[in-house]
Amino acid sequence: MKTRPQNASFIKLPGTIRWKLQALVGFGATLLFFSVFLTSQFGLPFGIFEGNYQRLENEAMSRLNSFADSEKILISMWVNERLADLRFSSQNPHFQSHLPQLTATAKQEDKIAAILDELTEWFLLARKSYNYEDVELINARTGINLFSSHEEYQGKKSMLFDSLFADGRDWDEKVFFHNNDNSSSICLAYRIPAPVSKDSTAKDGLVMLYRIKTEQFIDEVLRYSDVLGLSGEIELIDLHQTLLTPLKYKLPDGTAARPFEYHLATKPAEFASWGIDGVQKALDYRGVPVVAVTRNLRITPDFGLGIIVKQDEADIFSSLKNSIIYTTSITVIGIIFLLTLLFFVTRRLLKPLERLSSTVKRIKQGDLSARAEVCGSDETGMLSAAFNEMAEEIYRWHQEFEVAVQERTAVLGKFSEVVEQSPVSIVITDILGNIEFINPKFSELAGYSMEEVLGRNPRLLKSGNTPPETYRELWETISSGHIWEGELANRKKSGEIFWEHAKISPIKNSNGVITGYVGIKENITEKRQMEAQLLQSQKMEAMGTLAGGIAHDFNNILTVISGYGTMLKMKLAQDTSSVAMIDEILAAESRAEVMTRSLLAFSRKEEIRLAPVDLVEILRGLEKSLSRLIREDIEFKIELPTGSLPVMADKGQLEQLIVNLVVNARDAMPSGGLLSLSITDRYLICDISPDKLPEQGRYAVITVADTGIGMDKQTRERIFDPFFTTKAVGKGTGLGLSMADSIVKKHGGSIYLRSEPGEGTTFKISLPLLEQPLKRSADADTLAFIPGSETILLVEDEPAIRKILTTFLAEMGYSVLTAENGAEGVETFRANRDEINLILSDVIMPKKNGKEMYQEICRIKADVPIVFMSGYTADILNDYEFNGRNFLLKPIQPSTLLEKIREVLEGENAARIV
Amino acid sequence: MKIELNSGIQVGMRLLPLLLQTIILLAAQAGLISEAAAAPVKNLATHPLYSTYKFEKDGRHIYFGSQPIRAPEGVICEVMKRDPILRKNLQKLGMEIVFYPFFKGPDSNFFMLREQIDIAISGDMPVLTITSAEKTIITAIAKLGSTSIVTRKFYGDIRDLKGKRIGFPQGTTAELAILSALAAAGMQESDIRSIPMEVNDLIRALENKRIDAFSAWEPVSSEALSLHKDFTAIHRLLNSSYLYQTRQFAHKHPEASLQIHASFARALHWMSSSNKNLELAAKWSLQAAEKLTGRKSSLTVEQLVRVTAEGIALIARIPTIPQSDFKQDGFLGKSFDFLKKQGKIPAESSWEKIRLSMDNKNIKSVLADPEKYQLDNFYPERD
Repeated sequence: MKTRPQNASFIKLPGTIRWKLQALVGFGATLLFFSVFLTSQFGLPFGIFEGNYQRLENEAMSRLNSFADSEKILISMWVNERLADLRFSSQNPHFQSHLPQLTATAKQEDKIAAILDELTEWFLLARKSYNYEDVELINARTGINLFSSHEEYQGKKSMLFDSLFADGRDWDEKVFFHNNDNSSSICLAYRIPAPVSKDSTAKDGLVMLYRIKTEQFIDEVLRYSDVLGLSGEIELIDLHQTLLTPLKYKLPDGTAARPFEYHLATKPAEFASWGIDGVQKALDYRGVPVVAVTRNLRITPDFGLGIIVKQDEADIFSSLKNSIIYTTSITVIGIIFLLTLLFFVTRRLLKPLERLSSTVKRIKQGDLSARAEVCGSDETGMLSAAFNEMAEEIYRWHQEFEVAVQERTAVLGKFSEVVEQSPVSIVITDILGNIEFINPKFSELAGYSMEEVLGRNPRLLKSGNTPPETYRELWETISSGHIWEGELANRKKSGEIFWEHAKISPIKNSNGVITGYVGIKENITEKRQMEAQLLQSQKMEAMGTLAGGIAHDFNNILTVISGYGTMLKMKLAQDTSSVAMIDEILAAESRAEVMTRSLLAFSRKEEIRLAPVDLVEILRGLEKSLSRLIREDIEFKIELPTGSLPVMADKGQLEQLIVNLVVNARDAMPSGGLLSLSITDRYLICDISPDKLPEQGRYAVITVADTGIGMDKQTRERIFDPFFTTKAVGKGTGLGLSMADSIVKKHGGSIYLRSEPGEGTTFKISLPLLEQPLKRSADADTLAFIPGSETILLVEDEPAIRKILTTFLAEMGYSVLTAENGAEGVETFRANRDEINLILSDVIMPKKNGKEMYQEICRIKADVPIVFMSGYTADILNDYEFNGRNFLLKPIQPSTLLEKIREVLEGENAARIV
Repeated sequence: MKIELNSGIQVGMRLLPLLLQTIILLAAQAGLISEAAAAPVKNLATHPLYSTYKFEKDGRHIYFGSQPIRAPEGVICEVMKRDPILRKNLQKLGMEIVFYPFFKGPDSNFFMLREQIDIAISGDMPVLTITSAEKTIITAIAKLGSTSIVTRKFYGDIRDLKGKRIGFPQGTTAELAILSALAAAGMQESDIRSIPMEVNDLIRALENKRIDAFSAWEPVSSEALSLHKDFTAIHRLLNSSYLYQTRQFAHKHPEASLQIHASFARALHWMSSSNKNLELAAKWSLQAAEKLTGRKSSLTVEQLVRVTAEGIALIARIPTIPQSDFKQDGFLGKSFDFLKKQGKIPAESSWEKIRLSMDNKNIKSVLADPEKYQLDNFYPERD
């Protein structure tokens, strides 16, 4: 099912429908009102519609332009009228007729006075008519005031003369402002050239001048009018922006600007003085925004005026401001009324929806039993009824869903527990092999926590001991949707290698698409070790069987050698040199016998046969063999006492015990070290091992110590367990120390271990010493061969043995009957039952072995003495009670044989069959 | 015969430029040159009209740059061209004066900078521009009038022309008027679409709505306003014109320069002495303008008389440079500062150099001796 994106381009208004309606209507109405209003006030762009703002501005500009133009004309006319008046006055016939006298360079003061008297009335009339401040007639060359309406100035140099000619430029008409401490005036002057004569120059002539008070000038030319509004103002400046008229308002610093002193530095003043006739919207001298119209009036080349007619923008747009206030107020009131009306209407219309909304909220909060009130049959009533039906359905679904969820939760819980407590490790990955989940067993086994492996690939466990083909096959199998099963050698976080039996299968969704993989893996490290050890044991078993067979045959050979050698020595007793050579043969035979016994001991096929032995002698005999086992980087040190240490022991097994301990010590020193072997004689109150308490007494203590890697406590505690080994698979059986412990126990002794990691290992074996010193067996040289005369049935399948024994026994006086196997032995005995005094029989023979044969013979005649001989007896004679004295182990020394025969025949130790 | 032949050749040589000029004016009338002239030409020496002008730097010929489509400057030049006193006095000096008409001041400046035109009358902006190069001196004022921005009455203010096309002769006082109007309204040059045009094309362009407004001096603005009641002037800037000459000419031929200034003063005095004289001068000027533009001006003689009278009213009797023009806060100084700020005059130029390039000496000498220079006893030759 598709869901709507979160950021869908919907305008989401917060709140209820009522508020939305109110907001939309309110906002819409406001927008509409203001759009219409703003359009009416400010118009539309691109000249589509001119609003009030533009209209007012245009009207103001038009008004100000007209006013400024009329001012410009008025001032221009005013000045030109006076200049024309000056020109007209200068053309007065009476004046012109006296011009030569008036401009004469020679002093003709009397004549001039008379002429001026005639002109005075005319000058005064002119002054009075136009209300001039002064009318002056000045000699242009001397500057003398020929006439002034102020009598005190007459005959003196005019105070305006410098202003008239200061800049040195020629002129015929001149206008300028004259300003002194008391008052300011506008002066208009006309140059009347002197009549041309040979004496006159361009500088000669008169200047007729009108001086008018500035206030009068301003009163006459500046006409404030209502059209300029309340804030309207006219400013007059000269070409250098010097203010000529008083300002309507004070300056920002609170002072009044002084005409003829104040530099009007406004933008309109700047443009007006420059010569621009135009319109500007700018700030005036107060910093107030104004609409200003500028005009430039050039009256003479050097005299001009700037006219600025301005009105405050606020004044121009005041009606607009009022309109905005009124319209806004009406709009706000209208909108409030509209919203109030809308509030009540929507409240009435939306009440059922609100109740429905309330019910929805209750259901949302978990009260699935909540139902909406159904009011009427209109749309909202139908909606409520439909909603209730839906709520009922949801309630039913919810109930079913709850049950289903509980069931699923229980199942999931079980699954979760199974996974969490699983004895096998479980790992779940995504389609790319990135780990998504591991169970605790995985962490316990591999040493990685969940956080450490999440998002990582299981190849982090790769040890390099699993062939790449295995992984390739794995991925090909699971990515094709099948289950792969196999064994993997992985590496723990600690670096230790472990083996797992893994079943990895794809996880598929309902469409059969692989969404990930799950691996279930069992730690088979111990199992693999056990298998390896079992294989080793089986090998050892086969080896033992083989060794036993070889030993059997080999002992037969040695018996022959020993027999003939002994017989030869007896015969050549007088031949010293021959006896010496025969001794060498017998010594070699003896060494071969030891080797055979060692072989049997190695194969553990030999039954324990306790006999008094000298421990010192055994170790001394082993010394050479042990030296060969030790590597060159290991120093081997053996300390043996000078005397003998007699113990009841099986020499072969004791040798095996010592060999095992020495080999272990050697392997514990991979980098070399010191291996020491010693025996001591100790009287122990208790055993060397604190947890073992043997009887008090004297013990021989064998110590095997190395300076190797040592063992930790965990290893020490398991070191005597069968199949426990710290060696690599295939390197050790795990049985060495277990057997050592067993051997020691069988000998009534105890074994003690002391070891710490890095400090080497010391084994101490205590064996109880015999009270009696060893009875030394007779030396071959001094051995007495005891003869006899009885009849002996010799049963031996090996012809060479049979022959030598027959020969030897016959030489010793015995009558010898022979049989090649057990069956023949029975028959021979049956035929000679009364003659035969003793049976000397091999154990392992064809047709009937020694045991079967003797059982049958005993049925013919009970209590017949028998001596068994064998190179290997364990398999056959286990079921019989033997004390070991009626048994001779091959190879048989002739003297031993004779001694045994005499013992049996003389009845000291007759064999019994139980 | 020989002498007659030589005289004939000389006459022919003199008439040749006039003939070429006539041919070009006829072509212009056919609308060929007008378009070419409207296009910006960097090297005016190749201008269809100006390339026909011959400048012989033999020390005998004086070349005067006039502007027939400009009042009163063009009118003054037409009177000067007909001044027999000038011709006679120059002949005494072994010299003669040749008047070459130009469409606008920057054109005559081009040749003045090459020292081909010796003396000319132009509006304030071209005069300031060339004087800042320190090769010329300003010697008299020729006009105090105004330049106007003319548009349709639909537009009430320069701000209404934002983004609109305004035509004007580039580098002239008309451009100064536009720049001043924009500055007054707080606008930039980039706020409008400037259309550089020749002055004689402005009215027709506005009529044909190829432009929305133009800026021009008199009599063009008056002509436009008289032709169309729908046109109005929304902005005016005071405008002055000056007589100016190259420093080299003033230095080499001071007497000739003095005689030309006398002729200039005579022309002004003569024009201002009676309306009839003004009418006659206006007729000559209209004929000259017609020759240059190739079409009959819609301005009447009366209108041109009025415009001319207004232009010379304040300066006709005494055309010395006003003292306020020597001050930096005077009209010329303010215009200089403004043009410099607008980047129209090199930034390294200084007002002081302009001020020192204004010299009233010649015109003062003439005015000081009206008898000698026959200021009030002058009758130009009739055609």
